[in-house]
Amino acid sequence: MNARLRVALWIFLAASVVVVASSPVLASLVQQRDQIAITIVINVTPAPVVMNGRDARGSADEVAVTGRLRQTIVAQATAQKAVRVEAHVSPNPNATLLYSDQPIVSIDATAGTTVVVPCAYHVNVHTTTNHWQIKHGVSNDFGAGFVGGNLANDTYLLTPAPTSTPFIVYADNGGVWAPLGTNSGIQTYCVDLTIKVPIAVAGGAYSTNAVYTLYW
Amino acid sequence: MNRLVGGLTAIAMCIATLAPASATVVSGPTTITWLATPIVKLTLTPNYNAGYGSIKAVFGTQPAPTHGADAPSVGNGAVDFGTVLAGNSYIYRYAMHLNVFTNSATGFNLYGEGAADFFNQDDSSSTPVSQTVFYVHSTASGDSNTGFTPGLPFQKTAAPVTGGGFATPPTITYGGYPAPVASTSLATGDFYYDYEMKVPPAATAGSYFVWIVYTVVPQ
Repeated sequence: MNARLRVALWIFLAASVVVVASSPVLASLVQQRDQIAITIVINVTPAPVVMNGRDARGSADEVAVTGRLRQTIVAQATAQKAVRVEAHVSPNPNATLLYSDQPIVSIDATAGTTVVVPCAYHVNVHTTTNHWQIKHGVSNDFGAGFVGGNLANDTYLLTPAPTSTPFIVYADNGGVWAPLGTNSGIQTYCVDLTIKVPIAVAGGAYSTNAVYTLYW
Repeated sequence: MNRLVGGLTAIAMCIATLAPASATVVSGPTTITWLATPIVKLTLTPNYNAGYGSIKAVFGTQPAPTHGADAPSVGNGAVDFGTVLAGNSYIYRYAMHLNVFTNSATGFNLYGEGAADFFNQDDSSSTPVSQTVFYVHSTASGDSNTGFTPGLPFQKTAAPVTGGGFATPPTITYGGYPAPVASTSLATGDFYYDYEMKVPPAATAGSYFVWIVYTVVPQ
């Protein structure tokens, strides 16, 4: 084989590797192995109301009442009923492939404030596979005017990062999760959460899901 | 309303009788008070629409719902997820429709709590209901929720519970009330919920149940 032919073969081989590596064929070899969700509940207390100093007295129209109808309930009445929720749980050999120590995290916050919860939960990958990838994000916004990006995370194995990063919202991100990292074997991530509640958010309970997906 | 009309008529007749024919018109405030018997009705309809049942949490195309044997037909039975795998999450569509009817002029609060934790009848273990069973707002029809639709947990009640065995609906006796699952200033209302289940990875195999108790209290 002469030198020219050898060079041509090497070029062909290199080009073939590039094409295959970037093709959907190879991508399809990486499969989703497991997916979990941690429910994040934010119990919002409304921002304190501040008087603006204006006259708060009622107008004449409001006090011109000449008659009154008054209904008096003679006793407190309640109604109560129940429904049974059932399931038959079967063992799952893959139940601990990807799991969290907290299925739900509840955070109390006042509108207009920021709350940090160090190591709110752990995400555990339990596999002997020597090269896997994990991605994350939140499934939805908390509500109108309270986007999922108001929840930030600092996810680390050993040392926290200097700053937190807002979660991407799967529903708003074209159905794409954000890469969290690649690793091998058994690993445990600690997740610090930072929630920033806009001041206009009304009081109540809001929730979303922090979703983790494992691939190899 | 009949009482009100009757009361007004009686007052008018008294004024007409007592007033001389040439008297000047006298105006003044009048307070009419009547007593009303409270009316509070709560109707629960489990599996309230065709297509009810359990779906494993996935993104994208949703599998067909399934259900256990104790959810036999629309409007009947329990919310039976059927067989679920430890470590997986599920949604149960069209789980519960609540119809509330009251004569409260100021509306009512609706409370929903677990009477106990999620109890395994096979080995008497349990998982916290607040980490296992969740509720999600739904619709009368056209439900598009998935197992990843954000939900809120049912809490285990802190109040005394009577009954609550598998075949015995419990009663919760409240001294004070928890946070309501719904609140309205209207006298009546319809509420539709899906349920979600997050089966803990460490849950032991077996048949589990919990009673979810709904209570309506006029405001």
